[in-house]
This record gives sequence, C-alpha cells and structure tokens, in this order.
Amino acid sequence: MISYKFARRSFLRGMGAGSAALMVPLLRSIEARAAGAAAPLRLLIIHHPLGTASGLANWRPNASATTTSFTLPVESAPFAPLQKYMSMVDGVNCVTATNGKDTTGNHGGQNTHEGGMVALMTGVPTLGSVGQQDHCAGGASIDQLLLQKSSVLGGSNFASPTPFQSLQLAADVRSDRDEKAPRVLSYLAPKSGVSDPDQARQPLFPDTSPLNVYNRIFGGTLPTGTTGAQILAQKESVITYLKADLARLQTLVPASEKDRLSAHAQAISQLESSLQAMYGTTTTNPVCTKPTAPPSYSNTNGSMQGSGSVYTSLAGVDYYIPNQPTSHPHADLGQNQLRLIKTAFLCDLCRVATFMWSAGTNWVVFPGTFQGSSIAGNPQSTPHHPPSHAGDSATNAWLNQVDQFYSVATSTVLQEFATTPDIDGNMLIDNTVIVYFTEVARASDHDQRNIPLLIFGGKNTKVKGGTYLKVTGGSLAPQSGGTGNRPFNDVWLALAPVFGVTMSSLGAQSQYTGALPGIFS
Amino acid sequence: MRATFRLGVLAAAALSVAAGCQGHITDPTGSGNPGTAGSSSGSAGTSGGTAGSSSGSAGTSGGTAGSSSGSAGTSGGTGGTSSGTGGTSATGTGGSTATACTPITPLPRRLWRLSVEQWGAAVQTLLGLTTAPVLSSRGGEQAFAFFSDASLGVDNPMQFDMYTQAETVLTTIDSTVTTTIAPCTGTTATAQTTCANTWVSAFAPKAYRRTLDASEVTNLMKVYAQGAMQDYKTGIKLMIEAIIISPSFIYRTELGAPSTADASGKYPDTTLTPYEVASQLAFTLLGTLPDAALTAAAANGSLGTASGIQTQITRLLALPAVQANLTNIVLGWFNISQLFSKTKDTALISALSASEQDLTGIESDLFTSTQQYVNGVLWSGSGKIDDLMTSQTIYVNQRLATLYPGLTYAAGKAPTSDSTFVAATWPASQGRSGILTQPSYLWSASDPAANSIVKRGKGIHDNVMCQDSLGSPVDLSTPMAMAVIACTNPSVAGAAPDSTCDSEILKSDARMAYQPCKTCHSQMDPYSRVLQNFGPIGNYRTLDEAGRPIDPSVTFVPSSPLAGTSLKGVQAFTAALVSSGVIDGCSVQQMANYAMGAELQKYNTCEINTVRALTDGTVKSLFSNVLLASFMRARTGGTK
Repeated sequence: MISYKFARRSFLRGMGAGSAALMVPLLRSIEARAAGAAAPLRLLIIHHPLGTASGLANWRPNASATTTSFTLPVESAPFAPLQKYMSMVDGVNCVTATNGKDTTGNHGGQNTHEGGMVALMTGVPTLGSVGQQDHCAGGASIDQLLLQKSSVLGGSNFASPTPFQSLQLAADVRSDRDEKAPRVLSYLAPKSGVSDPDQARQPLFPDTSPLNVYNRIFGGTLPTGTTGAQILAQKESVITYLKADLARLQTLVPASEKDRLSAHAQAISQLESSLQAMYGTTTTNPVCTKPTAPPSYSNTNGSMQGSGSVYTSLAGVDYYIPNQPTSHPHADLGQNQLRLIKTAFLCDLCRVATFMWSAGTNWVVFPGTFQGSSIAGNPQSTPHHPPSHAGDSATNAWLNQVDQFYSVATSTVLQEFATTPDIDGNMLIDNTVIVYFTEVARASDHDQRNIPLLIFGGKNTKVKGGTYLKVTGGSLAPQSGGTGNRPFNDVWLALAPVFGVTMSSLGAQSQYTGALPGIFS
Repeated sequence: MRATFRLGVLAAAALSVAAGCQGHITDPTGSGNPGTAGSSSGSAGTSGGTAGSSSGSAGTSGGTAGSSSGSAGTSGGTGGTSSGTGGTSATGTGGSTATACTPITPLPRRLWRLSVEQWGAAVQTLLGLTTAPVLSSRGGEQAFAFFSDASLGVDNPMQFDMYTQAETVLTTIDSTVTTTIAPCTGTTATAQTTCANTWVSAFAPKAYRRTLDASEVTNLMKVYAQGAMQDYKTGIKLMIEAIIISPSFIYRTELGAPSTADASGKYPDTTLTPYEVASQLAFTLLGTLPDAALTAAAANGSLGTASGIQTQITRLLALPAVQANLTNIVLGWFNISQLFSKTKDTALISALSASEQDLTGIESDLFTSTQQYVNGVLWSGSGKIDDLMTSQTIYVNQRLATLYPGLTYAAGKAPTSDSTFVAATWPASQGRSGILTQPSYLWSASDPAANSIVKRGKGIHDNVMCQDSLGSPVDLSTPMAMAVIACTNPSVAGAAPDSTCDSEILKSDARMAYQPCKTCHSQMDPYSRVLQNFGPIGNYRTLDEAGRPIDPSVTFVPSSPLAGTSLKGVQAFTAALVSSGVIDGCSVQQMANYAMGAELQKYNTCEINTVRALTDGTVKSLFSNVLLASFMRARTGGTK
C-alpha cells in the first residue's frame, strides 16, 4: 500500500516534468498554509427538509426580542451544545420571483418546497418553470456566487485555488416527483443564449454516495505495489488530451453550448485533482488525515409501505432497515457525508460545500411510530413528506421527532467541527460559517414566513454566537401578522462581507432590502 | 419517467391550415416526408407544403417543395427548402374540428450527451465487451428515463465515475489488448509506435463516429507515448481510456458542417452531416455506436440523401438488435421499467409460497413478461401499435401463473418453472385489453397497497392520449383543496362530506366535481377509472379497496380526444383509442420525443401531423417516418 503522505521529493522526481510543473503551485500552497499561515475561512450550507411542525413554537425559543438567554424547544434543542457558536435568525421570509413563464402562476413558487429550494439558494428570480412546479434557477446559488467572487474561498478566479473548489453532497434526493428543483442546492449561473428554462439552468446535482465521494476526493485505496508517480504521469497525459478535446469542441459549438462545456471543463479539472489525490501526494498538513473508506449503502426502497403516492424513480436509503432496529442508514450516510466535508475542509481540498439531508419534498421513509410519537390513524412506515400536511396533533408530534432527528444528526457532526483542531490551532468551527436552513417554515401549508435558520461559526467567522436574533423593522409580515420581517436575501448580503465580498443587492427589488444586521459582528 | 426538457412551439396565430406550415430550415437531403392532408374529420389539407423560407445558406439543393395541393398525401416533399410539412390539417384525434397546426420550434445546433445506458453500450460495442459498464453517477439523468435528456452535461461525479468505470474496463480487456484489440508484431519502439498510430487512426473514428483531424491523432499519440514508456500495451490502454472518457465520445454532435458566423454573429441554419445522421440512426435504433454499414454510408455520403437514409433505416429495422432496442423503447413509452422502483404490500403477493414472495424477483418476471409481450406483437405478430392495446396475451412463468390465476394455455403448454415463460390468454371475464392491463404496467402505475387513479390517469393523459400539458397542480394546503380532499363541497360552508371518502373512486368523484381540482382531474381521472378492476399489482378484482362493487363506466370531457364518448371498461376504452386513431397519433409523438431528446408540448404540430399521416400503424413505419422527417436533421445555426 502506498503511503498517503507521499514524500514531496520522490513525488516530484517520479513525475514527468510537465506534470510536476502542474503540481508545484499546489504543493507550495499547501505547504505555505501548513507552515503556520492563517487557516482559511470555509462555508458549509446544510439543508434539512419540511420546515417545522406545527409551527415555530417547536423550533424557536419563547422570546419576543433578540436575546442571548434562551432555551431551545424540541426541534432545535439538539443544537444546545453549540449554542455559543449559534445565531438563530427569526424573521426572514422566503420571497420568490420569476422573470419567465411560470406554470404555477405564483411567481417562482412562493409557498412551495420547490420554489423555496431555488429562491433561498439563488436569491434571484427564476427563469420560469417546467412541468409541475419545477422552478428553474435564474442565477448561481450563493455558495457558487461567493466561490466566484471571494478571494478567500479557493475559487478558480483567484490564485491558489483549492483542488475541488466545492462539494455538493446529499444523504438522499428522492422526491414526490422527479423534478430537479427540490433535489438540488447548488447551481452555476444559467447558460447564456439558451431560452428554454430547463435547458438554461445549471444544477450541480449532489452526490449521494459517501464511497463515491471518498474515492473522488481522497483518492480511494490503491492496490499494493502501485507506483503512483508513474501512473500519475500517465493519467496526466490523459487529462491533457481531454482538455484539448474539449477545447476543440468549444471552437465548434454555438454560444448556447459553451457554458455546458465550461462546466464539463471543470469536471475534467476535478478529475485531475482526484487523480492527484489518488496517485500523488496531497498534503503535509498536520491536521489532515485521510479518512477511512465509508461503507457502500444498499438501497432500501423495499421498506416503503403504506399508502400515499410514490412518484420517485430514484433509489435511496431509508431511516431504518426492516428487522434491524438498531441500524439507521439514513443518519449514518448523511453523517458520513458531513464528515467527508469536514475532512475536505481540514485538508483544504475545498472551502465551500453544500449538503442536503433530503430533497425538499423528502421521500425518506421513517417508521410510523418514531421516537415515541405515532402518526395519526394506522401508523405505518411512511415517507416524510405525505404526513407533513396532516395537521393533526399526533402527526405533528411525529413530525417534531423527525425534525429533531435531523437536528441531532447534524449537531452531532457540527460538535465535531467544534472539537477538531484546524491548522491554525483553533477549532474548525472557528473558521467555518455553517448555515442550517429549511425550504418552508411551516410544513403543513408551506408557509414561508419566518424561515427557520441557524448560522454557526466560531471566532474568526464574526458570527455573534449565543444569539436569538429577532428581526425587526422590515416591511414583510411574520407568521404572527403585522410587519417586521425582512427578505431572506438580507442574510446572504450580510454573509458576503465575511468572505470579503461586497454585495449591495441580490435578486429582484422585492427580494432584498440590505444586509441584515445582528448576525455577524 | 420522462425527461423534463420540453420543446417549445411557436405561436400559431399567423398560420392556417390552408397555408400549410411554413418550412423553416433547409434540409439538403430533400428528404422531408411528403406533405399530406389531414387524416381525420377535418377537411383535407388544401395546400401542399410551401417552400421553406429559411435563409437557405445551407440546403442548396433547392427544389419545388409543396408543388401540389388538395389531395391527401401528394404534396410537398421533393424540395430541399421545405421542411416537408405542408398539407397537414386535422389532428386526427377522433372527430374534433380541424384546427391550425403549429410548427415545432426547430432544434438548435447542439451537443447531446449520451445517456448513461448509451455510454455503457457504446463502450461495450467499441471493445466487444460481454457486459456494458454501468455508471452510478448519472449527471442529473433520471433513472428509467424514457429518453435521453439532451440538456444534460457531464458533472464532477459523472466524469470521475467514467474514469472509474474505464479503469475497470481496462482490467477486463487487459489480456486481449495485444492479442485481439491492437496486436502488433513489432518489437522495437518505432515499430510499436507505428502499430499504435495505425490502430488508433482506425479505432478513434469508430469511437467518435466521425473522421479525425490529424492533430487529434497526434494528441492521442502523445498519450500513447506516455504509456509506452512502460510498454506497448499500457500505451494502447491509455489511449482507450482517453477516448472513452473524452468529450468527443460522450457527446453526440448535431452541429452540421463547420460554418462561419456572419457579421451579426449568427451562424447559418444547417442540417446534420452524414456522420451525424449515422449517429442519429444508430443511437435511436441500435442504442449504441453506428455499425459498419452505417459508417460506410456516412463515409460515402449516401446518408446525405433521402434514399440513402431510407436504405439504412430499412436495413436496420430488420436487425434483431434493433428490434430488441425498439421493444425497450416501447416499454419505456409505457414506463414499464419504473416497476423496479415501486414496492408492494406483501399481502398482495400472499398467494405465492413464502420462498416465491420475492418482490425484486416478481418485478423482474413482470418486466420479462411484458418484454415478451411487446416482442410478440411487434416482431412476431402484426407489428401494429394498435395490437399492443388490444391483445389478450400474457407471458408467464410458474410464479406469475400462480399470482395471476385463470389463464388459458395451449394444450400442454402451462409453465413448469420460473425460468421459462409461455404465452397464455387472459380469462375473457376479466375484460383485459393490451398493455394497459399487463400487470407490469399496472404495478408501475400504482401505490404500494392501493390503486392510484391520479397516477394512472395522468400517465395515460400524458403518454397514451398525448394530450397537451395539464396545468400545474394546485396548492393542496388551501382550504378549498383540503375540502375537496375530504370529499366535501368547498363552496358550501360547513358542508358535510359527500361520501365516506374511503376509496379511490369516492375521492376521484370529489376531485372531478369541485374546483380547484376539477379542471385537471375531470380530464385525467376517467382514463384510469376504466382500469379500476385491476388492483395495485395488476390483480383482477370486482370489489374496490372499500369492498364496493366496481363500475368502470366513464364519460370523457370535451377536452379529451374522445370527447363526449361514454363507455364501460378498458376493452371499450382501448377500442376507442384504436378506432379514433389516438394511439397511433400518440405513438408518433412519443417516438419523435425519443428521437429528438426533447418533449413536444403540443399535439397538433404540423411536422408531427405529417408523420402521422404517413405511418401505417406498424412500429417499423412509425420509426421509419419519424427518422425520415426533415425536422430531425434541420438545425438552427445559433450565435457565436
């Protein structure tokens, strides 16, 4: 077995001159950071599905104003150990808009799971919609936008880009229907010169297999006796060929195809990074340790029972495996993905990541009786989404437990962010802004006022931890009526300066007012 | 499952039946189908295809498209400047008044990424593998998609997955690289380099479905040189890897001949090159790379002519491999593969012994059963799409014979094992009819323990009737919608429910009666109510899930192609589909969707109407006429 920490000198000696030349800047960058430079800032955006049930009382503390003294209720309580790093934002609304033909007639999918996913992540009007509520992103998602604009996030527009730029991972993407909108968080900017909304949008589909991710970014496991440097030189020749082939195609296609090929070029570059991770050296960074290979999860679609519409054609992994009550593959898979992101951050393989626990219309199956609560009627196992509209107290209690489950599963890994040393001696969370959000505020009716939102970060992130932030002064209506709320985009406008990006506006006029104060110092 | 890219349709306002549909883009093959008159109740198209009006910078063969008028099927066709769509008129959907067709928006010059399955098949064909490599990262492509979504690209996971699969392929072929794939008797580096150059100069064009520039071969030889530092075999393998994960392999090009943009930055409209036509025919009909005859026809230019294309289509349609692929396309049309993602309540399969209650195994059996059913109709029977809808045959093994009892077999032909499927006939008393009552179809379009009137109805509305898109679903959380869901009149405050609301039929009654559900559900629910005698695994039943007798009587709403028709049961329904021409008309639309990689949103489009009028109802005629249509090859130039 070849050592993961492949000696720099022998690595470079073993490579062809051209390949070595490609690698030197990367090595210098890694080594410079390892030599005591400040740790980079990172951004992690995590989505959890289906808002709260039956309303905000189970999510936010019983407080009427901003405070640093509060107790979290059932759904958010698992984040209590992280409270000092956490700002709970209460009072931002999802505001959708569209510039295109919208089959829903409600301007970008207001008060829908699908519209919420797109509007919250991109902040701009959609291109329109296709089919049934499949809203087409009209801009890059905030993670990709910041990656392009920030000089500190390792994007390719700046010196010393990270090898993988960004990761898009998920635990599950099954949905009511096979639309794209509820199954994607990250987007590139739409293709130029393409009028069809579906053709124009550029979703970055998340990878749902931890093992695939491990192989791709950490290089998998090489067979014994493999001569990495020689193979790397060979594979670099393949990469060079792929780039030349793509460049040739770029000269032949009309403008409408150029953005698609640009995205493909990025994929080839990332393959190059994967090959370097696989066959070359990766880092001398003392806080970077190659993780062990995660398991390959078997699909458990067969556990789906009971009534309800099953539209999805995608495979996935449910909360449990029948007859194995102590096995919880959905949680395990998701936490493995989050831990891969954690290690990728530590190894500076990327500084930007998005993670979805599920599609916005979650089709992960949970037991009908879950953590002591049972859905009303015949409590058979069911996908998460269908019962979310039931509205009765018993089912709401069951939904509270599912929401709490996602909080526990997320908090468990985020606590590891808080206890894992970063390269600068601080903890990883001190250099990472983590956004935890959901696409609707109230599960039963898709209300998108007071979107549940948590923002975590330690001392270098400027996050005002330990805060329940009650938004005031805005012109939008809270769930409770009146005014005071602000558009969700105001959060992104407040976040951008953390990464050195100045943004005074985002989206249509209805979608922003200005940077929301109180989250960051 | 169907891909979501939809092909837009131009506004129809300025068009009329009398004027025919204006040609848009020149097709120098001049192979547009001849314009034909409408085939149903509307008055026949009264004009031939008028000459195309495009700029004509391509398509120089010109011609006299649309030279005749009036009589059905005689106009248009010979000219190079028309899309050959003149002379169409009525929709052919059962007596509705003829309305002006609208032309489809021409496809742009584009790339079309191979589907995951096509990539695997192409690698298999190229290297003569026993099995095709299977990508797990689909680049956004839906599992069980009916057709390959032309809008998709290659994302990071998919590119890595292609590499990973290529590595596995290289391991598989390792022992045959120097003996079979690229043998070389030379022992010196120079001799082996010559071998490699000769080999890749033949191999790469096959992979890329076109000729290569000298620089491309040079670039590939640089890859070889790096590998050859180890040995000849490594050099060859490295080139194979580079080729099968390269953009030129994963994308079909539909760009036409190289051209120059004008001063405004616009490229001229164009048509596919003969090599691109070869790929179009190959990936549509074979599901993989062009075979040798197609490649030869591209090389000698015959695929630049209508007769050359017709010759190849005719040849291909006789190939067993093509027939197998077309069977799978038809299965995809009816979403049969989706049964693999639809689990069932095990109570529904309790008639089987414990050892036979294997859902995955049953799903596989059902898929095989319907595959044989479609094969039987299309390739051993009449070959007519109509017969797919009406046949009384099912193919069963022993397990399926137990699960679906009462079948009649030829003497001594009852199945005796699970490994062999035999033909049987449904009991007449069940009133089954064709593919809509094949258990696989019903299984895939049902919920785990119950029928889904909505799912079945929408599937038939979209895919069997080919009606234009329904409006988007309403917000189910509104009080009005919630009332209808509870089977209550939403317009009457405090109204009691209309019924016990405990069955699919009672819920459907409410949806069809009250807004905001009525508009859509009154259109689609009747299509599945005729199937209520068949349960969630396709089991025959006379009582519904609430124990009430089933009445499969329906009347179709005015927007339906079967407007005003009242009938009872699925046999009467499929008879109406056949007699009205609806199923034949829809089959053209569906196969055009497949061949274009794009979903037409309108039924009444001029170009598709023309194809409808030309087909004779057989699957061979269907594919032949779709692929001969000039819109399949015409492309707008786009901008620089």
